[in-house]
Order: sequence, then C-alpha cells, then structure tokens
Amino acid sequence: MLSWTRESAMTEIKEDNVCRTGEWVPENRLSRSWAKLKRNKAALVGGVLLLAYVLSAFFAPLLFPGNPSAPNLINSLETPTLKEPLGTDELGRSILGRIIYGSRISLLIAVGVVSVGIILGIPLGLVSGYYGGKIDFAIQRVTDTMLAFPGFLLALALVAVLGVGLKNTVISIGISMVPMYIRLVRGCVLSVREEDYVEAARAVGTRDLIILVRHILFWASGCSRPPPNGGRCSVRPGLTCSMHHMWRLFPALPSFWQCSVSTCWVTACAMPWTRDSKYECTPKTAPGNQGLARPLSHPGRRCQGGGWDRF
Amino acid sequence: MHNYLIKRLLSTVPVLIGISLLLFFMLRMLPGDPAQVLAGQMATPQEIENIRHQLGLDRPIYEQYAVYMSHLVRLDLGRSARTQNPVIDEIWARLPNTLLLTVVAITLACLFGIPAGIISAVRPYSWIDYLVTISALFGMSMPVFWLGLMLVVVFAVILQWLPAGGTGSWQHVILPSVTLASFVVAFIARMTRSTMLETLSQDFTTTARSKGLTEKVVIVKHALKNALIPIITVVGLQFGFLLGGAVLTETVFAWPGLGRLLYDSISARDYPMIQGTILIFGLLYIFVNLVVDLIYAFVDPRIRYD
Repeated sequence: MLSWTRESAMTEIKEDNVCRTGEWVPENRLSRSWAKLKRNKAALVGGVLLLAYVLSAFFAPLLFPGNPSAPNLINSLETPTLKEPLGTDELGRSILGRIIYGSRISLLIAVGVVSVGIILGIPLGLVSGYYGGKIDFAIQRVTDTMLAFPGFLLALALVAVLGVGLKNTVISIGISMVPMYIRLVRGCVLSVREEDYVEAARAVGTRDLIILVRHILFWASGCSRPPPNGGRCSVRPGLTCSMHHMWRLFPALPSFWQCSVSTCWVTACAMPWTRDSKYECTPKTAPGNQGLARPLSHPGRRCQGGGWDRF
Repeated sequence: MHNYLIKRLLSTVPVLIGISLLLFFMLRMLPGDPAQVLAGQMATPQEIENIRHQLGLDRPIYEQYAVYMSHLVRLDLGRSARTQNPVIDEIWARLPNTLLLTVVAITLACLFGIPAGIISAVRPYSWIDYLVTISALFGMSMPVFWLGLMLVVVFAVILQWLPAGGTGSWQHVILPSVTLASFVVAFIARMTRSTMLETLSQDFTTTARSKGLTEKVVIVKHALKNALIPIITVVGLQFGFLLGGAVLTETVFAWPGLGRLLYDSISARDYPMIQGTILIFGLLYIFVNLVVDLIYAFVDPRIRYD
C-alpha cells in the first residue's frame, strides 16, 4: 500500500513538472513560479495594473510637473478633455494629477498599515491558536478589548499621543487592524493544528517554532489571506478629498465620481488580482490557473504528502 | 465545553474593566476640553471653570476614575454632558436601530455572498466567476456614502419607491442595509471563493467524488463545511464592525443609530456618553466573538477549547 502511494506521488511529481505544452519547467522554485504566473492571465493583468499604479506613483513629478495643489481658478470644474482626462476640480486643479499624487501617500500608507498588521497580528494569532489554553484566553481577551474601540477613536488617541504625520498615521491605523488579523489567523490555525501532519510533525519531535512556521503558517496562509485592507486604506485620503467636494458641490458630482471611483478602482482592482495569484490555487479544477500559490505557500507539502496526508 | 463557557462569561468583567480603564485615560489624552466645548467660544474663564467643576473634571484623574467605577458597579453610566439625559436611556433608544440595521445587512450579505462565492469557486475563471469578481470589486471600492446617495437618488427621488431616510417601517431599512451590505457581500463572496477553491482541490474532495457522491453533496457537505472557518471569522468581525462603525451610512440615511451617537459624542468630547457607548460595543464584541468561537467548535468538531 505504502509503495503504491509513493509511486503515485512520484508520478504526480513528474507530471507536475511538465507544462501542458510538454516543455520542461526548471526545478528552481522561482522560475517555476514565474512559469505558472505567466500562464495565469488574471494574475498578469493584475500585476500590470499594480505595476502601472506603483510606477505612476513613483514618477508622479515627471508625469505631472508643477504643484498638484496649486489652484488655477480659470479652469475650475472643467469636463474631461484629452489634456485633462478626468477634468478639473472646483479650484481648477487636475483631478488625475491629484489622484496620482494622492496615490503616493496611499501606497505608502497601505503597505505600512498592512505590514504593521501582519508583523504583529500573524505571530499573535499563530501562538493563540496553536497553544490554546491560557495563552489563547489571554490574547483573545486583549483582542476583545481592542476590537471594542472604534478605529476612529483609537487612531485619534494614538495621533494625540504620537503626533501627526505619515509614520504615526501608519502606526495608528496598523494597530487598529491588528485584532482583525489575530482573529483571522487564529481561526484557521485552530482547525489546521488538528491535521494529521501536524500531529505527525509533533510525534517525530519537531520543535514548536518549526511546526508553527513550516507546517501551520504556510498551510493556513491559503485560507487566512489578509482582508483587502490595502485597497480600502489607500482609498481613505481620496475619500476625504471627495467627501469635501460632495457636500459643497453637487454639480461637481460627475468629476467627483471619476475621482473617487478611479482611485478606488485602480487600488482595489490591482490588489485583489495580484493577491489572487498569490493565495489561490486550483490545481485540480483548473490546471493552468495557478499563480504562485502551490510552489510558494506549500513548499514542503509534497514531501510529506507522499506518506502522511495522501491517505 | 461548559467550563469554557462559564470561564468566557466570567472573563467579561475583567475585559470590561480593561476597556473602561484604557478608555478613561485615552479620552483624557485627546486634545480638546469638554468644558470649553460646552461653554462655547464666548465663555469667560470663570464660566468654563464652573462647568469643569460641575463635570468633576477639576479633580485628579484617578479620583475621577474611582467615582466613575463606583457608579458603574451600580450600573449607572452617568449623564451625558451635552444633553444631560442619562447615558443608558440614549443608548437604549438607539441600540434597537443599530441591531436591526446590522442584522439585516449581515443576513443580506450572507444570503448573496456565500452562494456567489461558491458558484465562482465551482466554476473558476468562467464568465460567472468574472461577473462575481467584478461585482465584488465594485462593492469593495465604492464609498458607502456615495453608494447611499446614489440609491437615494434612484429609489427615493426618481422612482419614489422607498423613503429617503429616517425610521419607522420596514421600507426604511432597505436602502441603508443594502448600502452596508454592499461592502460585506463583496468581502464574503471573495473569502468564500478563495477558501472553497482551496478545499475543492483537496484530497478529501476527490475521495468524496470517487465514492460516487453527487456534486451537490460534495460541494456543500465536504468542501463548504471545511471552508467555513474563515468565512465565519469574517462574518463575525464584520458584524462587530457594523455594530459600531456605520457612521457614514447612518448620516446619509438619517438613521438614529449608535455609530452616529458615538461620533457626535467624540466631537463634543462628551466623556460619559463615549464611555457608555464603547462599553456597550465591548459587550457586543465579547458576545459576538464568543458566538463565533462556539460556531467554530460546532462546524469543526476537532476544535476544542478545554
């Protein structure tokens, strides 16, 4: 039985290395990921969108020379033209230019906030779910406490203590996101830690840290992908600007619409699409459609798979 | 499990004390003086001093906290500094509205989000999957206040089918709950899709299929059941967020809920009201998280807490 299992696992390894066209894919994990990524059209589109977004944020001063905040009242509230693809706002400033400049801050905030959330939230969620008992109880009660505070109030208080500025904005929004990550990761770990291969790893004397990182984290990362805060957070500065227009200028609704929707669209669009390719995998249902998921998130699985989690 | 439940219920007390302590000192760190806000711009220093004395703000902070806690153990949340009404009455008047809106929005979101996620996971990269994905992107990226206003324009102003705002009948609930659900439904659909894709590709699904089970049973009993944990987590978290954070939607639809009450109280630095509202949020969160943890154990019997 065991030998048969091994054999079938071996065959699968062989098949895995052959693309549908029959060409050989290198053993190297990175090149294999790239080959898989290339076949996933959705991931490619997402990647291109995200790249365009990042590049335009990076090269904003080249794309839009001059001060994006400088008013130019003669051109106020213009409808979209070739020169101004999204029109101008009530002070005659280019809406596209302002979106692109805004996206620089948004991008920094999004990356920073999600990093803070991940760096603090994932280890706490892992420990809480894996060890259970008193540790879990303590961490979860602190999480309850933090969740009770609306993000708005928490951010206000943190900014009052730390002072204003980009860094403090990132820290305060990031900290208010931490409980959410803790809950998400813990939920997945609770069920993954009961899997046979975790028990097996424990039985052969693997250290907790290694079990947590190699066996649980990579496996749980498939289900506990981070919520799309990237998109949402980065929209926030755009929102304030649009809300301001909203209440003041009803006639400017079309231009406001373009402003907010395109900001949201680009961010929210690009992020999930790339995330798709990172976290989702459909090896059996759609052979060509896996992004980086298999090779990166379950590196050791096939080796264990030969014996333990196949049958 | 009973022991665990009792422990969890008992732990409510220290958590609430923790919240009150943190909150009490946090509020006093915020810039802005409640006495100044109440007295107005034209007040003399003497008037401000009088109000500060009335509110007890001239005493040392630990003494203020002791007084507050001694009232709290008698379940007295104090009086609003702004309206002079008992805090508990104002919260009590708005709590049913908030609960109604949240429950309807979350129910709508689950009713549409979970099936949409399942369909797009079962037929990945088909036209229906793309439709769900694009709708989900719309739902996530549209600002709620903008969507709310558009719904008002279409359904209340042009078509005149539904009221534009306020409360009173079941028709009043529709627009705000749809607005709130739009984001949550997108979130749930995406989460369901990605976790279902994961479980559908696992060996136990293949085993279930090869046993000759119908596709429906494979999808619902084997794949969905194993994909539920993160979905439940997200639903629970969103439930909590909506209970406390629907300020924009409540503003657009003139909906008298807790989010708006809290926002106004923070703007006015109405300490007793903020403290009362957040304690209630704390209680609701503790309850929601407890229910979520119990559902975990129900959905996945391997999960034990003892």
